[in-house]
Amino acid sequence: MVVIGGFIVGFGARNADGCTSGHAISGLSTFQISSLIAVLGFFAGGLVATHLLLPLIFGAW
Amino acid sequence: MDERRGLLRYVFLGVFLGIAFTKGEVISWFRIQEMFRFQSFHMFGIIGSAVAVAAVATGLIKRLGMRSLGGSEIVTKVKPSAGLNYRYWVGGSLFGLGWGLLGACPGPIYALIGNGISVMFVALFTALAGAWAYGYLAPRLPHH
Repeated sequence: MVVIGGFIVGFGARNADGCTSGHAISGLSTFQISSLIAVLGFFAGGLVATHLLLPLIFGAW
Repeated sequence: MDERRGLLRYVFLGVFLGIAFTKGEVISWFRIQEMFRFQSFHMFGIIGSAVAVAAVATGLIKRLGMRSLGGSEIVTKVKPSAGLNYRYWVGGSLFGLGWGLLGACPGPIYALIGNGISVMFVALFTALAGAWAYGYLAPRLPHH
């Protein structure tokens, strides 16, 4: 989980050209479209990980 | 201004950010999970207030023509939006997947290591590998 999570955090941060602070905070605060899309993506990915992948890995809890 | 004194200030700001991340529980796996389960306002409040403060701060910086600690002009980096913005959708979703799985985004990885959570060395290493892999594949990936 740490290995794969870390890998896609690194890959995604460069693919999207920014992370939580770069897009969500700096990007949204300067009203950039690209950052709004990236933040929607962050949240979509996070929701999938939390509600689909983690229950798959750990079982229902 | 003396360049090295400027650099030292960045170190202090970094330390301050690490303390803020820790005290604000931004580095907490549980807080991230809570956010994605909509069980608490905590993370939404932190990110939302950070955006509000940053919006006012960047507005002031521009209006007053403020300069960085090193004395250079502060320029807002505009991340280009073009076509379908494929890179932001795909890269953003991948990043989010990692954020949910790992329970930490890049900044907090460092703060967690500083807090003695040594497993995060593994995350730091694989995140660097991921960033390198992107760099390797980038010419073949669609970005727009």
